[in-house]
Amino acid sequence: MSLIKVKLSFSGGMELLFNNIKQKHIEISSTINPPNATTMKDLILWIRENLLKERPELFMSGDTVRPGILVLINETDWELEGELEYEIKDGDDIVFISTLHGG
Amino acid sequence: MCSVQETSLDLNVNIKPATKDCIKCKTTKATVLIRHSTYCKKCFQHVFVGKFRKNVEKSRISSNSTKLNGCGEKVMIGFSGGPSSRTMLQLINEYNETHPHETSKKCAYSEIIVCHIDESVLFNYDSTSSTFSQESTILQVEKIVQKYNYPFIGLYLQDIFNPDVTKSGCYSNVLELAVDDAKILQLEEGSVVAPTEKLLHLLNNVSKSTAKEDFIWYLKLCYLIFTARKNGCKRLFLGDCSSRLSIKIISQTSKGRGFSLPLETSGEIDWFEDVIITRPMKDMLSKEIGIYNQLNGLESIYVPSMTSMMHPKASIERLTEDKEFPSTVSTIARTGAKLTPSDSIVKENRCVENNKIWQDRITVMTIPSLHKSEECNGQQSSSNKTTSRYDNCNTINDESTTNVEFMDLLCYACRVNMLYVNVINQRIILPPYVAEGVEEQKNNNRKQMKKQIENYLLCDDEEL
Repeated sequence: MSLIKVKLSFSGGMELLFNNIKQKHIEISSTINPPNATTMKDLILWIRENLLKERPELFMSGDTVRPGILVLINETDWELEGELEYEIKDGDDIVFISTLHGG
Repeated sequence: MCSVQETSLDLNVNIKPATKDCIKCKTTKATVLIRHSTYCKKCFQHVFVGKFRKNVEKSRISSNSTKLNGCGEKVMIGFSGGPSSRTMLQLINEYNETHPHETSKKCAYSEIIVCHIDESVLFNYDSTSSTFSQESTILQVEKIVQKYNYPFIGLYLQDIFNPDVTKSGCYSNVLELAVDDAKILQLEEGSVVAPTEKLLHLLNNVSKSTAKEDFIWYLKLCYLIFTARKNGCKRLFLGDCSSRLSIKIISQTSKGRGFSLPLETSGEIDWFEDVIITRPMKDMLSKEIGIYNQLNGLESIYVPSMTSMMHPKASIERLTEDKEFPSTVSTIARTGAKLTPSDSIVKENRCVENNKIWQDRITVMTIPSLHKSEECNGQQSSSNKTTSRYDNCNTINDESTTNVEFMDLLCYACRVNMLYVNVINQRIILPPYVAEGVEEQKNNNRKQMKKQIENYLLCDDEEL
């Protein structure tokens, strides 16, 4: 098992759920669920368990992020990267943007 | 439950495009998925800016502003600091700097003013110590606006109670709502009640969060329009994006504002006569805006709203915010855009609260007419079960307006909202611009009445 570094960013109001932290560098196991590689699904659960400070229902719905939360993986829409199935790589830059208050 | 999830999964598989290349340039790997189309970064930005320019261009051509004077009109940007208006500020700035269709160095707009209304009084004001728990959003917004060199106006929502936020600019009377009547009151000199307290007192006594949101929105809109007018701006830009507009279409319809819907949500309206409201962001999804701001490093501030951090079902507006299917938004928005205001709108019928035109005929709630209320002075009027809190009409003297009269001047949805205002044992104060509207309407009525009986009146001259 090895560790991978991931940069997480929260914006658009998302930071409020994370104690106003806008950016965080984390290190997680490359296989949270051995023998499979760590996927976005694992990462989102990991974030909920380890970083989320309040209102998990505003972050997640089912086993994915709530609709209205935009996820970019290395500046690419995660919908083009397989969403929950995407396998996290070392050095990935993942951005969560809440779009619910776009007014 | 299980089967529902399965079908939505199937749908997802179907709508995901197979190719991962940009559908526009077809050479670069796509990085953005907007509805069913994939774009690369460059093409996405191009399409995004294009949509904006198309809307702005359209509004400029229709207003003929360029023909009237070579330098374009003076405009105001309503800037909340949120993502959508942040993008709008940037795009208007770019548009004005490099105007594509004019060879000479003409600007599209002669002057651009940015206006922000601070609502922090609603969320982090501690009334016991009269202090704010957080810094005003004005400071954060000003930092952003400074990058553009535009004049900046920072206002506080509570200042809507100032006498200069009226048509005449110096109308200081307020409208007081009580159990039995609504009075136009002279504001006492050196009044101890600060505007902050007045506003909070008003809003804290609105029992439904849906109605409260409505109140806040119309106070804000009226304040923006008054400010634009005061500064001689012919146009007010609002940053409602397509996602926001579709939320509005659904929530407004369910609140009973269907009649004024086309004027609330269309890209361009001259509802307020001298100030045209333009919504250049009307074709952008909030997803596009989020990505655009991220790619361009445009920082927005987080503006808390009343239902932030609250349960997703806290109010009608919040309820409609949840969106699962990306195509729904544009379908609703485009369907809404096809609505046009009815020809039968009478321009004189204006709701005093939000200054909108409305139609008496379409209300489902029966409000006793003015004449009826005069007939049944002191009695319980029969037809106003829904307005039971207001059904004691006291004798009308010159200064006071009965609630029935006041309700007569409101549109249907505002009447419904008024039902949630708790006036028992409370004296609720509405801002001066409402009082001014009431007085104006009353004078109009009097003038009309005078006209009707004009022929039967004996002139002073003849008397002599």
